[in-house]
Amino acid sequence: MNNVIEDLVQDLKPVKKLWRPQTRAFIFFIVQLVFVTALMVWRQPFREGWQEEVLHHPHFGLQLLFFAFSCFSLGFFALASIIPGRVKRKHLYIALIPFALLLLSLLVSLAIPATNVSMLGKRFRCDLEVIVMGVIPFLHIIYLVRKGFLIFSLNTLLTASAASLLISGGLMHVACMYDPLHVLLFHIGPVFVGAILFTAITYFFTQKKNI
Amino acid sequence: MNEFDTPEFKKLLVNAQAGDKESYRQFLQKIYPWVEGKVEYKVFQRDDMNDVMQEIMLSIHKSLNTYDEAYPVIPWLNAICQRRIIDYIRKTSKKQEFEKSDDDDVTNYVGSENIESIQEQFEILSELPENLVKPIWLTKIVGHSTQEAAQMLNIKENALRTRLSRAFKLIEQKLKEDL
Repeated sequence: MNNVIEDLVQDLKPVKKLWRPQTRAFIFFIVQLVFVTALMVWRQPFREGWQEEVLHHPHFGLQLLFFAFSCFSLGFFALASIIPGRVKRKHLYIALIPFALLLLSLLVSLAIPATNVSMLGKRFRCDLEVIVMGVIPFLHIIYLVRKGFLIFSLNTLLTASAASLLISGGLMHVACMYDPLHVLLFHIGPVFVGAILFTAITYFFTQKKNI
Repeated sequence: MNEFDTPEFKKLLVNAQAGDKESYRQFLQKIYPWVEGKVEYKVFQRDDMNDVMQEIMLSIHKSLNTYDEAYPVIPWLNAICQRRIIDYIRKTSKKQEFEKSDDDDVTNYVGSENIESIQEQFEILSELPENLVKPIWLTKIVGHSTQEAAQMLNIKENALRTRLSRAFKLIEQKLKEDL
């Protein structure tokens, strides 16, 4: 006992405390929103007249809010879950509520479109773009996650990857064409695919290296 | 448990975060018996208890940056302990499955009936090199586990498994020749 304690005491250095998860999640969200927006605009301008759509179609604006809340709440869960004793499994379900509302809203828009359906602003391979644009946010959030203590590794990775991909997936709502089915298949579908892919790759490497 | 809820105890941890070695020593000395109690309760293999204890203490040390003084210490400590104990349980159950499947493999390789015939026909064993006979003798006839047999022969467990596998291949060849 004494040897272990003495070794640890001798190894002690002042530690830099982690910021609160809500602060870290908020900064992550803002930084990556700006970064991904800039990248997407650089690649192709956003759909013309999307600002008017937000103002004149409340359901469409609400969907954008759901995107933002989903991203923040999933990112918050991922970053809170690396703090021992902070979250329980039930908190995951709470974190998923905005995402569930978003899906519900998108399903409703299949019957009642949230805004005018058109091919205006269509982007080439927007599905791939959602995944590719999610890589940098994912690396960012993984960097933040690794500063803590990984407890629920799969849940943390899944929520972290979903939060990263929802930024590009959400921006596609105003950057690409609007058709409810297109949104579900090519903007939200890649969020699921990418989340599983990112999680699987990261899980494989962390398990292999026993990180 | 209650002594960990006091502001003095929390202060020890907060001071430790700032690099105060004496506070850290006191903190670790206080939590050690508590962690030990948890480990004793959940880890049945006495030999592994020290390893698990060290893992937990090291995890606490590495996770010092994650403690927020606005929250109580116990849930923080508890989560770290539980995580490490779960990791240990997963690791040992995987190891046990591996050992079981490995034992099954080598047994099925020759077939259980042939194993019985090995026990009856010791002359086959006498034809094998000595370094291959002992592993079979200890594991399949005396009934020791591969780990125990490896310790008795003063070799690594993997080396013992390799020897067992080679021995069974030779026995199979000899049995085929006899047929």
